[in-house]
Amino acid sequence: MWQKRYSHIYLEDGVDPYPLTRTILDRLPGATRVRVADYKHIFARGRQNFQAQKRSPKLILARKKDNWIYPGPSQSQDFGYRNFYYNSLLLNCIYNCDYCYLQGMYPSGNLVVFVNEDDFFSATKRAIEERPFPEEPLYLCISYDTDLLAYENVAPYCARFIEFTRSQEDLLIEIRTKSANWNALAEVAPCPRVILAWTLSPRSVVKKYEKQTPSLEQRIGIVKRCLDRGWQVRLCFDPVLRIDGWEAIYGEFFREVFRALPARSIRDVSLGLFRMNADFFKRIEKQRPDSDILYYPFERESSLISYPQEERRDMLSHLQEELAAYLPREKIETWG
Amino acid sequence: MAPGRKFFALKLIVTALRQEARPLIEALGLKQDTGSRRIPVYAGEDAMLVIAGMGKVMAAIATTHLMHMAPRHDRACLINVGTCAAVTDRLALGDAVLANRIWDRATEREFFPDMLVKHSLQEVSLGTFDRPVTGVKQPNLPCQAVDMEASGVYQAAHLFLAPHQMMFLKVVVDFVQSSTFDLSEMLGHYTGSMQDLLPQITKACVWEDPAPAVTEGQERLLAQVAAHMRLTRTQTHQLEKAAQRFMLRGGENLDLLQPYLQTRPRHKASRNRIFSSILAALNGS
Repeated sequence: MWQKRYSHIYLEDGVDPYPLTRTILDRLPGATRVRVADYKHIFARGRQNFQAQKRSPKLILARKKDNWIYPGPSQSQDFGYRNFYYNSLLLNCIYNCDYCYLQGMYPSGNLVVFVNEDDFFSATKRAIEERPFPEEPLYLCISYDTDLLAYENVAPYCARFIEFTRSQEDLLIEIRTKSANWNALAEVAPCPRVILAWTLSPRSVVKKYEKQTPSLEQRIGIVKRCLDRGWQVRLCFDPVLRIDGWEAIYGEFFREVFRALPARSIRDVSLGLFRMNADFFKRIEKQRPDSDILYYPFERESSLISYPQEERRDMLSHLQEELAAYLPREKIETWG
Repeated sequence: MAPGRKFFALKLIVTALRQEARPLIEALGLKQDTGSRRIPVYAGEDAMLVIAGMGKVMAAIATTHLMHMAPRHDRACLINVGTCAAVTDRLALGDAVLANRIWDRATEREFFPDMLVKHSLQEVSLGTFDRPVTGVKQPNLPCQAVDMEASGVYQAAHLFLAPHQMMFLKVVVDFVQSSTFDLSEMLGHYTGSMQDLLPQITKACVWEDPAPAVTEGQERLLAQVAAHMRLTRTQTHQLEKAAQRFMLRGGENLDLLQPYLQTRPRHKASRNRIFSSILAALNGS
């Protein structure tokens, strides 16, 4: 009934000369090509239905004209790095997790790839030179509002950014993912200034709320291979969901993860409870009458919604205790 | 996404000419709605059709009229069916095409219906012109076909519908380079393509809904409770949300609301007190 994913590629005027455009078009030869004067004419249309579009997402190739790098927001995970920045090489994500804030943040379920990679590299170089704390590296999250590694087979941004990072001594990048795309990394030599960060969730959470993502086993498998190769690996237990029996489920989950992975080789761990910008949440609620985790009696605190304060305290202290059995506390960064 | 419930969307069809409408009226078994006198509307069980007249202004007026007559918009699919002229020789007379881009010649604006449903037709970029295009020797247009209505239909429909609820189906009846202006020949090409168009119209209107947490019977119960309790609009909305949450979180049914069908609070304070206790019960606190 539905067209396959990326059945159509929308090409913004001016993207043709970029090598990344050619690479992507070569990798999706059967897609119908449609011209668009400005990518916002399709991505930012009014009244789009994010979930309907997720049934057959389209690809939009565009040029990012400004803002190639953003300072990290204050409520986000900076892991103690004061020169914290992120960029948006892609808009949207190939996955469609029930709890994902992108459903409320973007007007469209389609994926935008910005093909002018050199502009991103130049902006990053400038940011490194102008960083406010020169004694610390520039900490740049390149898979911030997306999953870059999951889309590497089409838009090979991870490999290119890793090579770029190798040439920049004062740059530290984080690539956050749920992907098990080992092929994308198999030929890439590890770089000590690249952190590969995997979001891991209990099996039941993956099955119910992280549809179309690799299984827990597959994610653990790729983490293991990356550790063996000498990559810096971060584990993200984020978002933790207050599901029935969460104590036992997450306890068993941590046991399983650290049975399979050597905790001492893990660079650090991020632990965070489900939380979301209240405006995004409001938009998502209207489109998702089918997901129970969005219908918890949440509490709103300033611009964020999350579990009631007492439940948050209870969950965090319990989970921190559990994790402390495997890792020193200074390696556990907590959010929520 | 989890598979939802399949349903047939209401087909809202916009055509320019009576001759374009006729085969659709017959095939879908539509009857004229005598209530709509100035703008001809035909309706059946799962379809409504309006005859707009020529040009994008008329098309926009008729589309708006049809949208106002449609009983609901969330389960509707708007289909603009008509004729077009080909710009490229890759199209042949009688080809049924589907527009993936609509370009308005006068304003240079572009519009994009979502292309979510599988189909077997050729896709084109469709240009909407304010007057018939003919005798263009070497057309250098950013489109493969031209018509006179699509951009008007899109802009009017977009006030009510999402881009995935719109479809623009055209039949090539002419070429911009060499128009014959022979109406009967053009309509011959159009009616000859009906066997390609009609299955596409049906296919495009089979949709899926995420399975809702609250059944229709439970929706009725909520409405009755709200009426009995004389809940405000905000309270009614809060009740619906709480019931939805309750069911999504594993609630078996909403029987706990039955006693409130007998409750008629005498004043606001008492209603608000009872309402708070309902919310607390549904929220499990």
